[in-house]
Amino acid sequence: MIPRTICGNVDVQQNSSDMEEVDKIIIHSLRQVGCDIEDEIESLQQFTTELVVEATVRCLRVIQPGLTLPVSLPSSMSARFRIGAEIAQVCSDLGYGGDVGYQTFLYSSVTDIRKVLIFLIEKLPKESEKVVEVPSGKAALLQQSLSDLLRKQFNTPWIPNYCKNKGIRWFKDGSWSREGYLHCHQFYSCPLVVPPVTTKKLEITEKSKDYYKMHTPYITEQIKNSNELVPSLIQLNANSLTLEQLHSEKDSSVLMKPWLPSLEKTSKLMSSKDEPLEPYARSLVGLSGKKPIPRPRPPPKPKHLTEETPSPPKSTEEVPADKEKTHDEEEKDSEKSIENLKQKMEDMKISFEDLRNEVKTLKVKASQAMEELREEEKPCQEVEERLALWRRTQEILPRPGSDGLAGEGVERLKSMADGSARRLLSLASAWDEHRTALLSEYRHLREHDTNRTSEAQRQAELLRSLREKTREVMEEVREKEQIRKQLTTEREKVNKDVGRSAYTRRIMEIIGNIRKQNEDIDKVLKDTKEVQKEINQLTGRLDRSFTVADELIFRIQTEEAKSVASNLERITADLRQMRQESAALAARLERKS
Amino acid sequence: MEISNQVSEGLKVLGSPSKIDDDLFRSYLEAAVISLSSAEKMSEIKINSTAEVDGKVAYASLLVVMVEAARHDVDSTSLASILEEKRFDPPRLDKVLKLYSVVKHKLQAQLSGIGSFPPHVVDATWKLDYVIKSDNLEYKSGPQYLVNLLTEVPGGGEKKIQFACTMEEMQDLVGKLREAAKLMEKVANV
Repeated sequence: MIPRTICGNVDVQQNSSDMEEVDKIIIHSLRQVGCDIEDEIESLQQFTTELVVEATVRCLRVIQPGLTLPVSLPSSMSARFRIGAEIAQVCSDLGYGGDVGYQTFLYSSVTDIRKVLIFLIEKLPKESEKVVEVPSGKAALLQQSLSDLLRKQFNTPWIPNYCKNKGIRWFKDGSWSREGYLHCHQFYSCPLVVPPVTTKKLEITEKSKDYYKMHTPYITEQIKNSNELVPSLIQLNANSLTLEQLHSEKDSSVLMKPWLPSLEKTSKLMSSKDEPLEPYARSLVGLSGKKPIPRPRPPPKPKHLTEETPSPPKSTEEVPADKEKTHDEEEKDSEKSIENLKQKMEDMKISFEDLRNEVKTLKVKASQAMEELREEEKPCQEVEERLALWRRTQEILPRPGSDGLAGEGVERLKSMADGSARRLLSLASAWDEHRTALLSEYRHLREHDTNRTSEAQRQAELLRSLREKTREVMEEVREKEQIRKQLTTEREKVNKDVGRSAYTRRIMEIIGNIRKQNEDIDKVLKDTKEVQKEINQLTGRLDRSFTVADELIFRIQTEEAKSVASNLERITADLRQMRQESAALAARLERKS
Repeated sequence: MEISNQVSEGLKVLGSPSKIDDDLFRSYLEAAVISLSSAEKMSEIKINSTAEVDGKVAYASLLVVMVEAARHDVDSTSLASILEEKRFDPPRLDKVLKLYSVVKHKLQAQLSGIGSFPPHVVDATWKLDYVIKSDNLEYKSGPQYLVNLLTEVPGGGEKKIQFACTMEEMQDLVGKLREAAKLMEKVANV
């Protein structure tokens, strides 16, 4: 018994020296995490409850950055318990194997805490990992998603090609990965016809409206090959976007036009080499695509050509119907006539050209002549005006030969001048009257107008701000809705458990039990103390009786020793006697024999 | 994600119950599900084809928005905000979002198959022969691998690539493949 306990003590001492080293390492790494540990503290035994909680929470925060646990303990007891339980929960979620509960942190034993802290410090992200986690840009995100995807694909087993749907492997969560390329195809699109949106501003003719209504198929029916749907939709959007960008400066009415780029626009937009974009011509002709692409019509020929050319083949065709003898002659004739005709044609061509040139020059001359005429007419008009003036003045002025009338003429002129002056004055006053009235009205109206425009602006601004506000409110509502959903789910989770009162009742029961148990323990303690006392008394008595017994035994032993010695002497005497007897008997035997 | 004004106009039409009644709207949604998720069944779609002009625009806009959203991997909340700007009726908005969630992955898978691709190895078979004698001059007798690579040529069916190689060449090939696999794993474990 004794040596083993000594050995155990030695172990503990060795362990404790090791543990001090471990504690130093732990405290060092806790300081790195951001714990405020004083320099005097060198082992975990010196840790207070607050420090233990702070250390674990700081470690957990580094391991799980989104954690919202408080670093310091609140004063209320129930909150402390809750935090302790939460920390324990997080620890076991992280994969801590041992027993953890709120008691581990709140009523800490050194060994438990040491285990937990060692576990947490091992879980702390290393320096190199930290560097990787920090960058958050587009490139890093892309790389992250790449590696996620690759990891996912690595974790899935290989399956034979015929087990996939068109080369795509579908996962249970709806995601997919493409592993076969048999059903891939190139970007082939076909033009889609979509009617314009009918608005009040839009003016489309009744006929085109009828066409859109009765004959335009839905876009899914305009597609011949199912592979073309998605590319065509993409191109539809892209085309209209580019068209809008092109026309945004010029006119805004593009919106009202049908979604069909005209040929010239598209040819401006893109080179004709782009095959998938090329078949706009088809869209103009047939929507179903059944009709072939129309070839451009041959340009209309000049009239005299179309008239002349058919005649020569006619003559050659008619020839075989006639007699054979006349055949050659007629051929010659016809050839001659053809040549004649050709000659004529050439002549006519030349004369036509000449005539055309002449017409041109004559037209130019005519226009020149017209201009000359106009210029000539101008002085003529001036002269006519002057003549009219002269005539009027002649009427007023005295005629040569009748002198008496001169004074009359002057008088008349004067009176006319006076009358006109008077009339001018009256007109001016009338004008003033009118003007003041109109001016005031004008001012009034202008004021009114400015008022109205400012009012309109104000209202427009108000409207804009209101719209902005509604958008914000909508967003807020959406967020709130999400929060509500989250909370309701949480509440449902919580509702499944028993209510708070039941917990408190149970806690009270437990406390009562503990109290009872405490009393029991006290009783037992008292009993054991009494027993101890009794034991002490008994041991004393035992000691005393032992000494008495010892003495007694000693005395008995000495007495016994004496009796044994005398017995021995007697026995040895008996022995000697017996030997003598046996010797005598042996001698007698020898003698007899 | 960019949407042309014409599509926007179409969406405004689609989102207002006064212009498109609920029955027509539902038939559009059904048609969109079929045409976007299983394109080969497109001929089964039946919509009242003599509908108002607006319906055709609205249907086209719905399809365009679905495709563009899937192409840019837009999440449903931002799609919702885009549609809200077009004054979408809230119950319709929900339905369109539901359609998007159904169709999104299938559309993206479909989009991944558009383009030109090199032939793709999908399967491999091999055989190990031991050659004792052959008409090839100076051929050492020894093991010989016969490898068949099954490749898929986009739009052109399956094609076999067959080759034979010696042990060393095979080891070389396997080593190269291992190296490639290791590199991939390295990328995966960043």
